Amino acid sequence: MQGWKQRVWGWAAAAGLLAGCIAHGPPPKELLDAREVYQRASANTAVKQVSAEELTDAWKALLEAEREYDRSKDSAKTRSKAYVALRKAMLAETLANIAVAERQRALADQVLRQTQEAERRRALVELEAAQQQLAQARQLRDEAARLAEARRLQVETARLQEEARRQQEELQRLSEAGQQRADAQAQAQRLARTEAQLQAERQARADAEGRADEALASLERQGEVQVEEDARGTVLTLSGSVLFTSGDSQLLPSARNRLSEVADALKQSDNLLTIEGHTDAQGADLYNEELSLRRAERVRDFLISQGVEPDRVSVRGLGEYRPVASNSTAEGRANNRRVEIVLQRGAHSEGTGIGGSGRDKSR
Amino acid sequence: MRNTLLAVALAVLASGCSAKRVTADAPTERLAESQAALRAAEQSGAARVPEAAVYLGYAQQQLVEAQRLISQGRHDAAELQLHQASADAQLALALARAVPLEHEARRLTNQANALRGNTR
Repeated sequence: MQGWKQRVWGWAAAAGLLAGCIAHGPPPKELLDAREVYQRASANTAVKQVSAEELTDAWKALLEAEREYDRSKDSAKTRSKAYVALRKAMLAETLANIAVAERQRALADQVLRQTQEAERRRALVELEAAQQQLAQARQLRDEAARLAEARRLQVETARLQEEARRQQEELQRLSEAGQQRADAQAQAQRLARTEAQLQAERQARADAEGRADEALASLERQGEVQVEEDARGTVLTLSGSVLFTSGDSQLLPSARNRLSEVADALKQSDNLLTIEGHTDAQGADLYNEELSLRRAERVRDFLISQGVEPDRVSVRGLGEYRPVASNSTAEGRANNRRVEIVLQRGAHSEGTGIGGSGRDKSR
Repeated sequence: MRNTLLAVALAVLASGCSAKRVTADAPTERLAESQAALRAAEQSGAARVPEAAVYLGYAQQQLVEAQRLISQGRHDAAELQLHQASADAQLALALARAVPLEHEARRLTNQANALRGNTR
């Protein structure tokens, strides 16, 4: 509203100026300046927004100056009013400039504050990140220290365990060595004992055999018993006529004395005994066989009754099958009727076979 | 009636005379306004701002001139001087504020632009 009015007046002033120029010469410099500055100010949007009132005042002042110019031309009054109009237009511009500068300052200030805030935040974030990194580094360092400690302890533990195991082994070894030594000693003692026992037994047997041999030798010297050595062992031969009557198996009373002496001799040893009965060739074979067995049994029973151990003794009836002399003469037949006591060699326990191998030796 | 007419005529004459005398009175009110405007400009520190100091100087000179004219009884000329002095003082006041403000705004804007250029 005010704008178009002012523009109209502006044009009017310009027209007046033109008219004035033609009619009265150029208007004063103050008025020209006032017109120019007013034109400029009225075109300024900031002026219209901020200092519209001052612009209006400037317009009124310019109007007064123009009227005065119309009235009195280039008078002191005209110049004075133009001067005032110029200053008012400048004032309107300056006030607008103030507002613009304030706006600029506020804007820059805001930008600065925002930038500084952003800067501050960025710095804060960086600081936090750095602190976090530091904390992480510390944590890592602590963790590493803990791990190192754990590792050290582990190694130490392993070392101690190894040490303990080694000592255990040492102890074990020592104890085993001790045990072995003890075992060896015990073994040696046992061996020595066994050796001594064996020696004693051998000695005892040798003694016994010696005694038996002596006793048998003594019997032989008396001419009652014939003693021979053959493959089966020591063979004592007792004449049948001395022991039994013909065809009978009852021991003669005189035989008992001799047999008791034989028993005494046999008791000196513990070797196995085989008692073998033999007959001459007279009579039936079977009868002779049975007879020879009975006689052997009689001798056995008697020897047992005289103290010879029963389980040392076995019997055989061999009948007429193993003659030692010819059955064609009386003397030969008397020799064939006999009882042989075979004293086996070796210990009682060692003897297995009875009678040994066949009696193939002739006398 | 005549007396009355005469009285009216005298009164009109008197009033006309008195009116003429009033316009020719010393522009004391205008002077006070100009002095107040000048004081305000001085207090705003216009003397320290070169652009404002120029107009402040004009205002002071014109005020002195106006007072001289008043003392000579040339009241119309004095009133014109006072109008000019007031206009100059008001402009000086505005410039005293505007010029430093513009400088500051420019400085801050440059600073902000520089900072923005740095950060981005």
